[in-house]
Amino acid sequence: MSAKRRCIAIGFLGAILVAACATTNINLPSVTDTPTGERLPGKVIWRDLLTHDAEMSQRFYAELFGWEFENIGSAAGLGSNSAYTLIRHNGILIGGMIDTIALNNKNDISQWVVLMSVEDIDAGVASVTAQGGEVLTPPTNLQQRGELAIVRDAEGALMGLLQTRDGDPADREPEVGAFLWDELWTTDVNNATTFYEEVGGLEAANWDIDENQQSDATYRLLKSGEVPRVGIMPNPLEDLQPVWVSYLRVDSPAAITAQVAGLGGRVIVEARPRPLGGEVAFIAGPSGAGIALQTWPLEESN
Amino acid sequence: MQSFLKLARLMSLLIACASLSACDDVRVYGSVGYSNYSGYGGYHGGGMRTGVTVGGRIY
Repeated sequence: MSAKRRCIAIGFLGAILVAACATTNINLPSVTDTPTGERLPGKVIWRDLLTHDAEMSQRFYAELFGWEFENIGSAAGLGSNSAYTLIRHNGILIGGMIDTIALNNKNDISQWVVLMSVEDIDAGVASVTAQGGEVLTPPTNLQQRGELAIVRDAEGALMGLLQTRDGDPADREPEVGAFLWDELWTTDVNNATTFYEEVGGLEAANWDIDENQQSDATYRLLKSGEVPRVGIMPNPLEDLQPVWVSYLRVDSPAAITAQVAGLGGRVIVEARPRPLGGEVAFIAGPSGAGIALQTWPLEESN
Repeated sequence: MQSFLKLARLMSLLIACASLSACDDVRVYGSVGYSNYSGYGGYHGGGMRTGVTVGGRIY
């Protein structure tokens, strides 16, 4: 074989390898062990923790909330460099964790990312674009999990849209230590409300969460039918970019915050009574990813 | 000519290897860090806050 032909052959082989890469199968498990077979558009059905300190984050959440972690990176077809870890609480799937060190990102993207259910992923991303958002990762087939797109909303908050393959988790009351609620802290509540009404098929209602505060404390509750799905409120921390904040159900926020620093995290908002009842706190894990704590139900909290 | 072909072969291999090593990362969350998303990047702001109203589940 001549040198020229060898060169062409090597180039051809390279093209085949690249094509194979493009069709690599990623197979992430379903977001629930008991899929309902139906989708619940507008519902947050999964949360992924992006962290640049996976080991410390794992210890942090395991110690505070009793979470269990199972690394499935290689088994999922993501390759040995890409760590993907399932998170369970009392054996029930509640989320995932991605080691961002393996992603070689140029920016620190540590945070919790919520995935909202959509009936049709293509229509969902089209709606994102139409409403002024940006599609960062176009719809990607994750097999058992379904099709996922990662987007930024119109105010810049990162989130995902997921069209599940086998259906969404049924609505159920969370156990202590599990996810209770999801809320967008943003700069333009009205614009964000329009965005999620269109993208998630939700309807908004106003709630005054603190009568002693000024009018910007008004809370926007987004519902699917009669079921509350998410909240939107003005960002209470002025130096924080728009972000989705997930809440965990806890018995005592103060008991949790007392342990946070010792596990490498930080208390951002100390445990305090909520105007509408119960107690709340806001903490950050070792990577800086923020998460809120809330007692539930309200009538059993003081 | 010979040195050009050697260089071309080497470049082909390097491109193929680079593409393979990065592909699975880019497909899900990897694209976020490569985008113009500057990132919430975790909360590393000032000290503990008082006087702020945090939301939470209502019903």
